[in-house]
Amino acid sequence: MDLCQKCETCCCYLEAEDLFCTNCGTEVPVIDGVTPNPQPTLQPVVRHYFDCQQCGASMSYDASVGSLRCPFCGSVEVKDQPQQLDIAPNRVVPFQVERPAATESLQKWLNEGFFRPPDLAEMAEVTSLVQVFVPYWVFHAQTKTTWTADTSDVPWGAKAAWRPISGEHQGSHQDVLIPASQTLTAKESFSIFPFQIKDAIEYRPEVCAGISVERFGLSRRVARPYAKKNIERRESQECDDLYIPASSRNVHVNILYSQMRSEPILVPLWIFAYRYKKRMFRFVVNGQTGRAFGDKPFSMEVLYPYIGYTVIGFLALCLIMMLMILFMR
Amino acid sequence: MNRPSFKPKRIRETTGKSPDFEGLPHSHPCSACGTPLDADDPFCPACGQPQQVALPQSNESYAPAKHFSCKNCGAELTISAEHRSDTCPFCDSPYVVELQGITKRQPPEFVIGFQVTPEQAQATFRNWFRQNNWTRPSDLHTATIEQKLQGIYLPFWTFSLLAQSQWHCSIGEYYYRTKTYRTYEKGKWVTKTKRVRETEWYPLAGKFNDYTRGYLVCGSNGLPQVEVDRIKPFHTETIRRYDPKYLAGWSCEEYTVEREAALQYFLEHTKQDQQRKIQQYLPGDTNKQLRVMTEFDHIQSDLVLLPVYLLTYRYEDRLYRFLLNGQTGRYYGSKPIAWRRIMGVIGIGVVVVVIIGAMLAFATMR
Repeated sequence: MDLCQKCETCCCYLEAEDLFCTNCGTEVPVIDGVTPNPQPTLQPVVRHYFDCQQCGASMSYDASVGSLRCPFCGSVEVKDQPQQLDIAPNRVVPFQVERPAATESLQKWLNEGFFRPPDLAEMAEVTSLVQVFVPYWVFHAQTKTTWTADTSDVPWGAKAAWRPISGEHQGSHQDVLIPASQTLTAKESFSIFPFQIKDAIEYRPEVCAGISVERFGLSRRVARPYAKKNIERRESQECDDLYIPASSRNVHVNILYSQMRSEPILVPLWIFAYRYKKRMFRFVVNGQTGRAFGDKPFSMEVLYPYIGYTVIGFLALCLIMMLMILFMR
Repeated sequence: MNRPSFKPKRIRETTGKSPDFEGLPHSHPCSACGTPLDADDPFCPACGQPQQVALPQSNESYAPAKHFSCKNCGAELTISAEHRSDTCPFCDSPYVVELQGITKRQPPEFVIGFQVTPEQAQATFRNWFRQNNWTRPSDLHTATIEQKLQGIYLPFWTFSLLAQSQWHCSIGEYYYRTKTYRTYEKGKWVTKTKRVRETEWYPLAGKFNDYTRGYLVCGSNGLPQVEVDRIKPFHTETIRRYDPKYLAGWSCEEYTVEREAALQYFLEHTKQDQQRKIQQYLPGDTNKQLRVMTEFDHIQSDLVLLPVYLLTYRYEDRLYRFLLNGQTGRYYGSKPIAWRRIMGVIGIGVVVVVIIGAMLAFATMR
């Protein structure tokens, strides 16, 4: 990494596609018409892809996977896209949750919950859990922050409930993950966090053998503002926790980023996608920690009897009341 | 120098955006991964897929350019040899002389290519010019003016710097108290209470650091900054390193605003910008007496050529101008108004109203 070129002003790592530093705007120096030694990440890799016609997911296809079923929506309508290029990931977080554990987690999830359609558990046997590697961008940055806020810790004799304070903070943010998947929703991507990025291994094609790899659907240029927003939120929380006594309001942070860099990585997921009454539902398991998240269909049919009971109960109560009133007279 | 005034009274100013160029210019998706691309990206930045590179639009093949200077407004231009221009595109005056030799100016470093074709620009101009046709003086013809529309690369200075500000101010926190007062009501004195807002003031100081960049300062004396601001933004994501091939077939203005002058303008702009940002960054319910001391560091400047379609014409000794952003199609223009016609129409309207009123009055009197 240290062989990479850094911006002279803010020490952020420069990337091959940039003419200016993306953080501070300093021009990338040119020597003899060639930008020297940018961050050597975006290496292309050729894979055989298929596109799902239903949900738009684009992922690699491995003959050993067997059936051509889209792991993101369970659709079988997929279109072949032979010999396509993608960004080669720097690192891959390997699978640590095996199939039995994932299936168990799925079964547990399917059986829990009260207002669920009763035939949901049976569906689970029809389509099975699929292993997928999903792309993420990982950002790292150092921050120099100044902050202002109001604290409720007011001096003796103060009349107002708040007092303004300001200060400085230096932070370091590692492993800020920004999902680069085109298919998973932001809610799904974030609710299976965290991933231990330090356990990631270097990418080799063998690591992904037999497992579908989703294609990078978000360029670094687009991911960067999200990462900054994310860091800003963390920094604001950190300043609040560290420096502001009692409760706070109007926490503002002003962040100067330095040594910002990013890398493409792959993250392991178990996905169970199924259709229930023409709607698509998905259950995802973090392939490293086993943390699960999913949307379940909400069945009104299960609910109807209970609504009925409530209404009958209410009417009965009214009747009793009326009778009591009549008796009292 | 006898420059006509740019603040005429009788003028119609409009800005707008031609419908054909919505969104980012030429951001067609990558054939492999769908990432938005620029017309001249050799590879997709997201997936590395090689792209068919569309060469920057050029009207004609590259020809040796000529160098001109305007005696009236002081603009200096490089005009391609085919383009026989005898009037200055900035002030529409015929005092253009050819310069010999090469000027000792800094060469441009970056350029944004034209994405709007001359035909599209002309069509946009014609549409705009024909809006409200009846208010235009009758002796002003579209056809004669239209030919003056010209695509020009205009020089702009851009700067990047680190602004470090120290600020101090008074922060106000609100609190409420109940106040008792006596008032005369219904013939007698009564005591009443009301809730009033009071402010408690605290002094507060701090720092604010910011990397600033991207503001474009017009490097042309012939064109005021306010007019250029109207056709912004330019999307700097599609910026390319300068290459003479971009200029083939287009005219190009030399900068006449020196770097130092542009920098001073930019610093002033940044100071105001900092003041505004810090204002938003302050805590509390209200604040007063904000003082900001800003220091600038890591100042870097770049000379950028930006694509603009320009049309300047004279009418009754006043200058009118039409500007079109050659990247996004955003335009701004001013055109003369025939007040005599408008007054005439209003007059007829008044006469009609008076006649109707008179008739009604006559009818009711009977």
